[in-house]
Amino acid sequence: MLQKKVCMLGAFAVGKTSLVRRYVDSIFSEKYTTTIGVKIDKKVVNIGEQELSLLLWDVYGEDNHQKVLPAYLRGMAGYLLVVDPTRPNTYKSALSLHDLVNNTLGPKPFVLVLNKSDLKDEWEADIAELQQLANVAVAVMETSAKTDSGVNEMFEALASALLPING
Amino acid sequence: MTNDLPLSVARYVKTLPVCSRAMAYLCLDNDNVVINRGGALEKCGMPSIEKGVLISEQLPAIAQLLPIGEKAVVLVNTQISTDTIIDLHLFADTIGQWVLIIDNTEAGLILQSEQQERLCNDIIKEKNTKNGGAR
Repeated sequence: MLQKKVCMLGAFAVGKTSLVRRYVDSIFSEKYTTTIGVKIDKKVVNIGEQELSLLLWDVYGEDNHQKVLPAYLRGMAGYLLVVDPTRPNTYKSALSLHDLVNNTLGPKPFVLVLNKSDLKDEWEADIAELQQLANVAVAVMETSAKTDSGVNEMFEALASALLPING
Repeated sequence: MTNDLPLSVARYVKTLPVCSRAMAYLCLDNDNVVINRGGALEKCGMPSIEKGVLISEQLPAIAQLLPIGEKAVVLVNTQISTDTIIDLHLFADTIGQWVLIIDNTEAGLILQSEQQERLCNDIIKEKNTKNGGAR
């Protein structure tokens, strides 16, 4: 079976781990638990008649004290770039992580993920800041790990882009 | 511990400040087949690694990191299960591609606790700034 490494990238506390837990284990917790280093999970996804094994690398979030090290990206086929629109600071991390990928591996397919859609009333209006990322993403998805909205679709959108001849 | 290790691994370990931690190793050939393994594989969360089998069939996450170039690859605090945190060191020499696995569960959990406290404080500061700015 075809195997692809997919990284979850984004600032701290944007919900990367919650999205993986929701997708892999169908669970959600309100409690925030930070990730150190990386957590690795696996999930097989069917896209049409093709089966693909996604190796999910949930990489620690960037914060004021630590940046993501390029070694964690090694062998990555694509990534989910997660932002929390209730925290505009997380946009800056998304832009710098996108640059890190391009500078380390060259362009790779990614889905821009606007997480916490259950808190849409609190989203900051200026999503235009993310337009340059949206223009080069394979998809822009609104998700909520809490309500399970858009989670499967987000992973499937990236998986489709990773298949040979695009499925 | 280092007395039990292949020379290639023992030499590498001597450059690290980790000698008291449990460690295990795998050696892969150029086709990424496991040709040797040993050390504390069970403690490092990898009890069932078999010789003669492709690493991609046993540890697909490591297969994605291959081939190893001239420079060693180091991935610290890799959580492979809820209760196992390891450091991965990958390097190559004339014998093969080596994967050194060092248990870091104890220190990793302490680090996680410290980081959790720091980031929770950062989130509170962010919220206060946002609320203050909105007034």
